[in-house]
Amino acid sequence: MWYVLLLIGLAAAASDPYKERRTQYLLTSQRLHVEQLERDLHALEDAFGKLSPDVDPKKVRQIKARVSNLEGPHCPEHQGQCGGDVPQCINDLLFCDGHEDCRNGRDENPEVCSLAPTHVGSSYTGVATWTSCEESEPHNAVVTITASERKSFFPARVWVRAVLAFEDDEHSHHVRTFPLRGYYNFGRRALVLGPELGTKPLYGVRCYFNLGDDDHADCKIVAPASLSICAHFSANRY
Amino acid sequence: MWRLLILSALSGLILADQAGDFVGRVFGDVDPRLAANSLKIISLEKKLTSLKGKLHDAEKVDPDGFLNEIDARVSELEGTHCAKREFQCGGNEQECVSDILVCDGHNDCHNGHDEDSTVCSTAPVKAGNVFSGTSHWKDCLVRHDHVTRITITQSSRRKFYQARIWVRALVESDLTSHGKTTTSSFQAKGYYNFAHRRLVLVPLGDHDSHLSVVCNFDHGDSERASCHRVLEATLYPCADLFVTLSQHN
Repeated sequence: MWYVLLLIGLAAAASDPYKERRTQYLLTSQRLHVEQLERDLHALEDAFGKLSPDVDPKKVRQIKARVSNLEGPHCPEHQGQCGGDVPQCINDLLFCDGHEDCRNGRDENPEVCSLAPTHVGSSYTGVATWTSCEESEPHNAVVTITASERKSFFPARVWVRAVLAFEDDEHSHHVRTFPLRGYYNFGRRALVLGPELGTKPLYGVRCYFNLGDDDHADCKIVAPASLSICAHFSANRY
Repeated sequence: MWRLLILSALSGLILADQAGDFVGRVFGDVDPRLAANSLKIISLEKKLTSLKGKLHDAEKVDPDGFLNEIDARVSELEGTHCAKREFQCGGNEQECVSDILVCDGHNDCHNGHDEDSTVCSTAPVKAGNVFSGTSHWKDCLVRHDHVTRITITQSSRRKFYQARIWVRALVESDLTSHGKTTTSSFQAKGYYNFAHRRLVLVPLGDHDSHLSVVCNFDHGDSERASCHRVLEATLYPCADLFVTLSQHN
């Protein structure tokens, strides 16, 4: 309450030859008070800066995607979920075909119909852990999209060509490559690749972009006929 | 500094007394804009004080820690494809290494996750940590819910084998029987395993049948753990216990 006191005091005395000097006192004390407030504010700002920062929205998206993966699909095979508040399933042939088939129109949503996973030059890489087919230590595997095409009369799939490459041996850096072809399925966010025409049917690849964005996928190297799993890698785009 | 100002105020008052007409001067002579400024400053000061209170509330919300916790819990549900006693190299890599290679000073994962500073944090078993929580017995002993405290008394790490921390601890239980509270306590020894973030404590040379404690720091930080009192031989869980680190200060 000292400032009230000060105000009254200076006000009372604010006559006579001293008046000007007292006004100066008043001004000075006000300025000091403001400076003190400023210092307090800075201290407060510093303390605030030390609190944990807000979270990366990417991380939140990933966590959400992982939880919904755990919750499991509510749709039978060959159907995709409309998402949002509507627990509706539609056939995955109807996703991104230019007609709204979901009640909420999610099947034509630009996010759902993003072509980013199939952009030519997209490369997905991760450390492949082999559980059968190859006697190999965990090494990097890369799937690179080399061509993609979307037929105008059947836009529900994107037809792609790709190359699977994985290291065979750590020391010689011998890399084996397999030309593949297949498609991308919007409804299930799946990239499905089998051996290119005229090549030995050794390996295929199935990648699910089920981590909330177009940059991470859960990929498996499979035997093309039986789809039995040979190796598993979590792919990141680079 | 304030004293000086008060002094000046008092001297002003004295002068005012001499002049007599006090009230008239207060409202007549002070520059009204200065007075208004003072009022503004006062209201700013009040706002600043309320901000301080809000900061205190903001400290309770920790978005990053919350995300870590959810991450840990979701990972728990997702499980790993690694075998028992193996450590999974990071969320994205599907590689497994044996848990005796985790935090041993050598990179064994391709991405080096087994030597990551968060994985190898020794904070959970720092000597002096006191964890406490309520034991809920569902088997082995007939006891009401009671408070259990685990105090880490000693922790050491061998230079030639860094994958474990050897720990000694004091385990206390506040038991209430016939209206009296007694504390049953025992010394325990055990280890902390980085790969599974697990603390295992076994009673030390005790003839009383005290039960072992196994704690998993599975909530994304070093402050909370879900524990069980188990039978040493079979690891059969007799009681559930969720502990939190007591604040030091």
